[in-house]
Amino acid sequence: MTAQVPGAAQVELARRLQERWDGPGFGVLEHRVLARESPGRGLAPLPDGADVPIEELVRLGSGLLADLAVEATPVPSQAGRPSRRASRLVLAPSLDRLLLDAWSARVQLGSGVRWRRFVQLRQVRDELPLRADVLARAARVGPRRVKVYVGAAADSKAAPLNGESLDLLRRVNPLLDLHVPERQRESTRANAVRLLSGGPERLLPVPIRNRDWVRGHARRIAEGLTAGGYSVVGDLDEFVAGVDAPPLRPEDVLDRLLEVVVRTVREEQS
Amino acid sequence: MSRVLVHVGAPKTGTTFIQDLLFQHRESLAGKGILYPADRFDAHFLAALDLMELPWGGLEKQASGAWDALAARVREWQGTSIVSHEILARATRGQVRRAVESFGDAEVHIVFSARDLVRQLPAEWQENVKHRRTLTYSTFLKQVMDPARNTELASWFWGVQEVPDILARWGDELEPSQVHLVTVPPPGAARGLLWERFASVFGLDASAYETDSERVNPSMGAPETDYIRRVNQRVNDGVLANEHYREFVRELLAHRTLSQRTGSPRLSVPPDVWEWATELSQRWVGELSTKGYDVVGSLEELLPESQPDDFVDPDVPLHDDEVGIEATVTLLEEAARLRRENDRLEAELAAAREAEALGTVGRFKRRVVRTSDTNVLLRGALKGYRRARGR
Repeated sequence: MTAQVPGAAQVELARRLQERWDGPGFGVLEHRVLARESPGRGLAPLPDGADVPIEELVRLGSGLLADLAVEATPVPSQAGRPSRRASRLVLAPSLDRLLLDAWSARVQLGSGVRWRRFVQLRQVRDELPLRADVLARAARVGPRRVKVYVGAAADSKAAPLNGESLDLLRRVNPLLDLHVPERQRESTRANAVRLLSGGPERLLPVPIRNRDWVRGHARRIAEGLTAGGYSVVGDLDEFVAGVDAPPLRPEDVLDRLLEVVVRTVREEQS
Repeated sequence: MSRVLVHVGAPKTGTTFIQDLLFQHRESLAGKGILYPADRFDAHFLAALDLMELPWGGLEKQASGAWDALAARVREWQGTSIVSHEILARATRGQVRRAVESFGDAEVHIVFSARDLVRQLPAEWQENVKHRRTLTYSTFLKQVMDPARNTELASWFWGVQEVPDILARWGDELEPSQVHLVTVPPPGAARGLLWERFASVFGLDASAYETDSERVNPSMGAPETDYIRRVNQRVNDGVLANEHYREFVRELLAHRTLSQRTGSPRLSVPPDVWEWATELSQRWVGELSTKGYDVVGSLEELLPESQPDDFVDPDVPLHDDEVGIEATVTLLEEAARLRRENDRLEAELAAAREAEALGTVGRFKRRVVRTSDTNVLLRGALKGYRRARGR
């Protein structure tokens, strides 16, 4: 989809990408950005010269990212639903982290749900995702046969995307639903995941309004493991304590977007 | 030469009624050379989502390729095609160009139905409320009236309501005579007049079509709208899933129950907003009168009627207990209906399970016993069989 005259969002995004480009050959990407319209809702096209909110830049950039995923050579999908088989080994980082892993898996399977909403929906239903309910998983095997490792990163079929990348992927997912026929969506989504892989680890904290609910469940699980006589390796306080990290900032999401777009287009050109 | 009439809005101007009518009569219309290319009533909505790259609560999954499919049917048709959806009003110039190009050689006409701002403002707020928004009327008006238009809400409102801008986006590349502005008659106008105006643009005989459409988008009064807004505050954030909200709040409560209450104060605008809207409308009418568009109705109808002297502020609780009682009774009736349905299904399931457990021979035996109640011969035979078996 092409814009007739580039608006302020197009010009500003192109400028920020150029700052990161370093070297010749920027023209192709510049043309693409200037010609791309912003997907989804948001503000009407802003005239050139207007101040552009960060959110509008991310919205436009998400469209670009979706285009890159559609064009990329298909790769087999790595994402898969979590195993429902009972395991004698339960890896349990903090409950916050397990929730984040569950959201990550969900987004990598195509969901467009935001992190805040994902957690809130769980709280409203007072229901943890299966993979996060360590006590229920351990109970399926039985206290004498299972071993719970606290603090260890959980095993997951999902790619280890950082918080910013996950936020970008949840924005890209509905665009892929719009642009790609159903039979090709999985491989295109796998492309998007691949483009967004890498980058420094960045965990997201549980939103403030949900923290008491998460801590309550973490304590219930910890007490249940202790009272049930389960074999626990590590400190259960760590399981309850949760992730201590600043919340997601739009600037950081944009930063990640610029990095991924520049890297991807450079790789395409080389 | 084939032509396509693209009806691009505005919301709350009878669009739902028109789309339903065209869809219901699509076969007879085709016989008259007019194509309404839709296999489901919301087909053009999905096409618009596709064209405008608009995710819409998961519906976008069904929209992939919908615009191209629609445009292909228009290109193939030797006659007049009609495309209609009100969110098309928001299309950007780039999307408009893509749409027009997609119709190939067909002569493109734009149809836009418009209603005066003083009626559109409360109608749009109510529409927002029926889509789970919780903002008060005064906040809505403040955002919409802010010249910066820097909220998503204001941006969307003007995108689908600013008549001169919409017609410029859709019509700048066309002859003015190919841009048809249908004005919505004032309150109290003859029933059917709006349909007659649409029909004249579509080239239809208005009297030949039954206009009692079931699919309408009715309006609520001030206390009812505020009631739904306050319900939203309690059921958002995951309490009620979208599909349940649609079924129970929007359809059952808002459309089928509360909009039937006609005695409550209607939504309007406060005096200062009336003055602002009137001034803006006058500017619009002045601008539109120079464009040479085909006006069906009258530009004067876009000017608000005289200022109402009975504005009722929906943000001030009206203490109308009847709204809550009526809503509760409706939901209780629905709960009872669903319970009866559930009981019936459970009984059916139990019977099916019992039959399954009996097996083929068991089912045959039970049938014989039941039939013997009314069949004398079979009763005798069964008696003999039981005697022989010593029972």
